[in-house]
Amino acid sequence: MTEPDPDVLIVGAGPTGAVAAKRFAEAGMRVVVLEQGDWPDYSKARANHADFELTAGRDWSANPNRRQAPSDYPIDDSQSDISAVLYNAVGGGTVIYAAHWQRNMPSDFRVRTLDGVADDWPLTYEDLQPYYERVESDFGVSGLAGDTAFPPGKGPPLPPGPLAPMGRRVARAHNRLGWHWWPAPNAIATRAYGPLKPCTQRATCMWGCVEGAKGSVDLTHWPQNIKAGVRLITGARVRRLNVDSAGLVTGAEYVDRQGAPHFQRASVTVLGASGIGTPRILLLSDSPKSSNGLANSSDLVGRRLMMHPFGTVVGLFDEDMQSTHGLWGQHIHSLEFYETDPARGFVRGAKWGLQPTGGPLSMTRGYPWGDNPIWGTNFHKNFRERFARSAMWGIICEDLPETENRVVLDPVLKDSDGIPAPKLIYRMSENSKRLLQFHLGRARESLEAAGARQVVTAPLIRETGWHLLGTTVMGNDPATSVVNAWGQTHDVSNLYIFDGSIWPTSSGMNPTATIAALSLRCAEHLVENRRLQKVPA
Amino acid sequence: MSLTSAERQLFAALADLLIPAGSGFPSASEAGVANHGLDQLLTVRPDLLDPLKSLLLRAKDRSPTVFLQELQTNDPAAFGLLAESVPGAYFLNSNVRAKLKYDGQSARPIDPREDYLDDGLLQSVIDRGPIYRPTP
Repeated sequence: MTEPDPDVLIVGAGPTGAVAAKRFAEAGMRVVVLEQGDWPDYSKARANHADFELTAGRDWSANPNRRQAPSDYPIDDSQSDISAVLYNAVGGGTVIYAAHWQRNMPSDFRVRTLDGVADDWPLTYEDLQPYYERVESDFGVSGLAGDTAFPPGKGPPLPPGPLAPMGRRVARAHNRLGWHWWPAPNAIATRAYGPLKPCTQRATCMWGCVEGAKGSVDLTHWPQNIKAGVRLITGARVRRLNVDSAGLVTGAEYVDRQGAPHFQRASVTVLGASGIGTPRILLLSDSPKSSNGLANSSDLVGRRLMMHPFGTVVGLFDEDMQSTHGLWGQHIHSLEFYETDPARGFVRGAKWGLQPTGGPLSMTRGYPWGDNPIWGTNFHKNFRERFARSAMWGIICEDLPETENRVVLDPVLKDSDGIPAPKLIYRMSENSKRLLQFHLGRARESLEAAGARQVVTAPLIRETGWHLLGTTVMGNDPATSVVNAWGQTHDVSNLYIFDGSIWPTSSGMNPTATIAALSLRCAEHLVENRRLQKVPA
Repeated sequence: MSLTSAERQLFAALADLLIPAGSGFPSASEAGVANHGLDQLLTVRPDLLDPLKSLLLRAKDRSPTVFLQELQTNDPAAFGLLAESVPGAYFLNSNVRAKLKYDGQSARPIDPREDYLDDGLLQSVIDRGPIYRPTP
């Protein structure tokens, strides 16, 4: 007997797909998910081995061009100021993210109205707030309600991690300066919570959490989704979506790991393949009726790529900061300079997260220490000044959308299945450069006020494009956007996009909280309106 | 394939320029980076063997000091290979780790004490009031 076609096909098993699949399954819908990666292999997580620092970068590299796993596709970043980093696996980016769980602030949804640049979102903070609360429960988020940088409301389900010596010291300094700080929100379980075990502060969150304490969706969502009946197909690389004569998407062509082609039919298709993977699939899905790709009558598919320029400032202290360990993750965050102040010469702002600096080998590397000498006669003195005595601010800068910053199909480069690879064309704007320089300066003041004997501004490095946003913009006008406020493409009524591609502006926050909340909001709308949904015959 | 004793001697000489003895800590060679340290390193990072052999071939019959200076100035990638391998092997040494009181990225369970409440720290933030711009 032939299985009935699924109600929904989801492409990508990262946070977007995990959240949406959960909601669809709860509503009794038949769901199939195609994921080009495999389940993460935590046998390669070596935080509890002496060689952790030597092997982590190889086995858990965030750069697919460096990793070159069978599940990865190459990305041509030769014309980009920033290299994209992502993870193709069940869990997607949450497998390697630092789990900084930042909601956007209200102004992030009203950038045009408040600051006169870019675009407003077709929804508000208040629209998204209940969905934030629900996904925070699902991800096992830790933190503290009442943060003065956000409207009042329910906080996350778990208490925050410790401030630790570094956090207390910087918090006191900010209090003297009159600057904001707050115990940081993280998708890291500070107590046992559902499938998550309590964090043990190994500071290895980005390189395979051996405890199973990080809220990555391979732990928090997929086992439960599969139990609920979701069919997850791994090793399935989508090469195009097909459309029928009525202009409805009928499903996805994909290639399995052995190179064999398949076609998965579905009534509705949802893309959650990242700000690079999603536009790549749409651009690959051209046809005589849409020669520049599917759902692209606005010519905005792939455009407006935003990647959050990233800065780091490290303080060295005379006392033990216990900074080999902690949450990586963040201990405190500051949003003091998040909102626009026109006197600064740029618009928008950045979020700061205070992190540990790691083990001994991390004290000798070019990042974050730059050209500051460590080698030779003074090696041991220099080393001891850093080791366990340093703390660093990581700075996420808002990046404004520009149509010339974009993802295109590379005319030459192909993946292992012969499918054209994505190419990034991205230049950091003058606004972003000014914003970054301003924040690096204020972060230096923060650490100096905290008593740092030396402050090091890390060199800018290319491999910081963790946040891939904006490439299928959301809006009300089909002429100037790809999807509507519910992630439905204007051109193809049964094709949806729920991932970070649909953000009209990037905010200056780590995006997973909003990606998850937005995916839930879009999924819920689709569930509620499914009887009105046009589907292929 | 492994490193010859001549290659190990050369590696030790270069390593000692990066990490000499001092502050009560052994030099790189005293910590065995060119012997069991290198073996441990290459066991977990076999991908480093060929690049290291190539690098040491270039260093053969050269003054280690001059060679290292040239690398640092003209070949950051090759210098980076040494700068990863030498401390990588050095910090695997159990005596060095003991002197640092470093037991690896070990488990340190979270103390449930709410340290953000110390000294009224958080109250200062609350007293300053909201800092966000509300939805217009």
